[in-house]
Amino acid sequence: MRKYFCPRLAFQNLGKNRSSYFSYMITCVITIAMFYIMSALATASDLDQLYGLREVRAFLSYGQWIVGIFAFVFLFYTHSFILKRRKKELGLYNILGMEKKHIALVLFLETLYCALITLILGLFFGILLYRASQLFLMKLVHLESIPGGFLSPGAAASTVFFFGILFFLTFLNTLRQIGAVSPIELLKGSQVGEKEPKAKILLVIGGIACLGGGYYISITATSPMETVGLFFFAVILVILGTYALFTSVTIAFLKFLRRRKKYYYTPRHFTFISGMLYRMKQNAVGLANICILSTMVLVMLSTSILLYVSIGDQQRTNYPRNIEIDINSINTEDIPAVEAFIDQTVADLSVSAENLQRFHETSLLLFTEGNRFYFDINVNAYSENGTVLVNLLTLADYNRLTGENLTLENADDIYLVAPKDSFQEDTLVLENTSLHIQKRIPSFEIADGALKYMVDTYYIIAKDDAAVQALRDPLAEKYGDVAFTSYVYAFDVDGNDDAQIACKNALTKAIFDSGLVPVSIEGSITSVAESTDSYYQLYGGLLFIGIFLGILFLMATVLIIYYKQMTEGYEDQARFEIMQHVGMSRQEVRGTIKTQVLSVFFLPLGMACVHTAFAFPIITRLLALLMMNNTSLYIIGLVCTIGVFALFYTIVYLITARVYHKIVAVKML
Amino acid sequence: MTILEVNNLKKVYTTRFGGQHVQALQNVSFSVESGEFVAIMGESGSGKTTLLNILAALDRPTGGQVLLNGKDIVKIREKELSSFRRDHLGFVFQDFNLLDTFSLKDNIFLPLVLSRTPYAAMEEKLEPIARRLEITDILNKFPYEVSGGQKQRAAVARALITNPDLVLADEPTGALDSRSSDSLLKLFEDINRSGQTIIMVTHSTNAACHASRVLFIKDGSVFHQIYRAGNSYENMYQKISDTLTLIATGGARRLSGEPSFGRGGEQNA
Repeated sequence: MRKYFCPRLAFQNLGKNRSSYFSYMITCVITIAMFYIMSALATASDLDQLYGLREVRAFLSYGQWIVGIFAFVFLFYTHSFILKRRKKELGLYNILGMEKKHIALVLFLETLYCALITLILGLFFGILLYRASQLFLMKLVHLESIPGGFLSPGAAASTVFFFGILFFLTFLNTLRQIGAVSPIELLKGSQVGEKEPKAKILLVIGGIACLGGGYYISITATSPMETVGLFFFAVILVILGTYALFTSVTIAFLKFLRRRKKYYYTPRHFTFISGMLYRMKQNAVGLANICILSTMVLVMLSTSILLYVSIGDQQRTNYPRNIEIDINSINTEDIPAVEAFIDQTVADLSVSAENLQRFHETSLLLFTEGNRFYFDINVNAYSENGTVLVNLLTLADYNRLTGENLTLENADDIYLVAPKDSFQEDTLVLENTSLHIQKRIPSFEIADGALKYMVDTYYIIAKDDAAVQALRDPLAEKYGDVAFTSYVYAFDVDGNDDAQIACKNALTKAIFDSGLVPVSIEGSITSVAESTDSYYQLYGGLLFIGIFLGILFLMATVLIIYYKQMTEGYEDQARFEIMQHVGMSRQEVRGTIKTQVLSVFFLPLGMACVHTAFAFPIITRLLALLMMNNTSLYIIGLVCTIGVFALFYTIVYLITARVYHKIVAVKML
Repeated sequence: MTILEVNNLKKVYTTRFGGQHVQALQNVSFSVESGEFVAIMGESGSGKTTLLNILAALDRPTGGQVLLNGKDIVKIREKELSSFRRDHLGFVFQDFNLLDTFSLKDNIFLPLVLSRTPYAAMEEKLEPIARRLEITDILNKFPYEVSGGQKQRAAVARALITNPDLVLADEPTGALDSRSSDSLLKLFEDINRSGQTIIMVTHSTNAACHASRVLFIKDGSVFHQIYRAGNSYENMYQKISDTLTLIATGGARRLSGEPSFGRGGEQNA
């Protein structure tokens, strides 16, 4: 064989197959660039200079792995599409007298060229966009941008190494596929007659059960503590259900439609149903993948955007006031003296305290059964359903907090603040004491701890300190540390985060470090402003990864569909030609193509939206664990994410439909 | 009654960039009577497939007329073409052209479904045809599950189910073994005897022997024709072979200046 023959042939092959190689190589370039950026960010030494970027760095290295695993699966997948279409060409080489080892050499050189081109371009774009990504990340985590290096040799090396192996594996896979078959089989490679898929009844039932189970868990899981574990269980159920749905349930459904003669034997449904049935077999898994990827993108992006956008809200929920002074286990009779001292200190520091809240609260973590609230030492409070937080307040504190002027007659008369409609009885039994509910109060604003959103929280407003003690003491005697009392002095101050932190430091010094307080106290002062940085680092990092992976998954989704349509286009050419011979008009052909492409495109997206909708209840509950209770903001964020996603999706649909139509129309009369 | 009349048909193919002209058909004229079974023979590239495509309204001629029942199909508007094809023509192809996505039954129903025939009526039409073609038992199978002969019979059923004026067959035996070919050709004769007009393009002398008339095309024009009339199969076979030999060995000696197509016997001058 002539010198340079194989290298030249390999080069020409890439050029001649450019319609399929072009999109494959673009995919490679984008994936390589993203992998490089992720890797460079995760290993950048200049991040070390910044305090507290540990979480961000951890996210980034997770992100790098996700991109890596994803690149592996995805590039293999797209490459197999190309291989399928090229089998005929390779078979022809074999018949024309090239030995398998020559073909292997050509294929190796093709892979090599492909790898070189995409690695060079990928690294080029990666390096180009690295700085932009870094600045974007710094912006998201609210850090001053740092003068960063542009090139990270370590990251570049690991990228080349990783993708080098990946390309080599695709080459081995190609060899495996062409090595085992005869030239004649290769020639026929792309036209193997497919059998009609069968809907397996067990899979249908199992699939529906899995989906239903996943959805049911999402809707009904109420205990926030259990939600985390259940969430993953539900996710697995839904993933399994989705695969079953696409591989079996759709087929069962289409077959059902086909049995309904009147419906089936009409021009529109006739070709559509049979066509969908036929292509469902090859596409079911691909469509299920697309559906799951889309759901992941939607949930991941909307959640991370929401967490980021609502950082202010979360802080406010967590700490309803800018400055919160907590004094633990203080005796009731000492409170006036301490309160006077704090008032004085605040005034001395010339802090203008607004929205002041002062109260003495007793918190009990109890179990409920009917209208009874009790404690059981043998039960883990955080694992059981029915755990509630009961806060005891005096009427005086309640009136002071709300500005109302309520009264109570007897020591066993109470007002109850219950979550939603969960409590409808007229009496409430706390351990063994019966209490008469005078009125249920919907809710009120109180600047107390973070625990309250994890479990259902009740407030019992009792007549006075004596009444509160009468409720608390029997429990405390029996079970020890079951009750927790604290005196809270919380207020807002003017000024930005720095001013708030300065104020907090001054107060700490004056109250806890000075030793001037009339009685001995223990406690702490919290400034919500101090948590802002870590919030932004946590959620900013999360959002960055969310956006990054969102783009990657979106690209994958879109390309999978694109490849699918291309492959199908070539198969459908002959089919539509026959249909026209038999008397289908061009309009009808066009209509059928449109419905088919549309369904294949939007079935997974539609299903992803259904998944997302059903995931909504459980995700809102998970977010509640993170002190994020703004459901309407979440809905807006979700709708926007779906909107943007659908927009991209539609653009790709339009492009694909055009290309597909062009392929099919080659044989149009 | 003349069912099909082809007058001065011309077809010129132009290469993509307009460089070269290829004359596929030049001045083809003939007519087909109702109830005839006409075979069109010729070498590869003689223009017979082009002719069939034009008759099928799948391709447009450069010039000339094709009158089906007195209506010029060249002048039918694009929009009505497909329904015209559906209602008046039936097709049988060499490679069957059955759709893998449909069962045989649904393949046969396809033209009827496209013209929105109610299901009950379709069943009614299918029943006698399926019985006659002996495919009743395999109607619910898919094309990849049955033999070539069975596929072709299903394709014939699809062509016949609309009661077309004309059945056009393009090398219908080309992909079949000899036994299946024979039984298909017998079927064609049988269908033809019950009044169906058939035009068949073929390479096979054996296939052409079953026709009531054989037209020979060479270099884009009608070269010669043979009527079966009273000829025996062997006689017919011999005559067709002779004509083919003549065409193959040059045929420089044009048999008659312009063939005149009166009925009866051999037209060879």
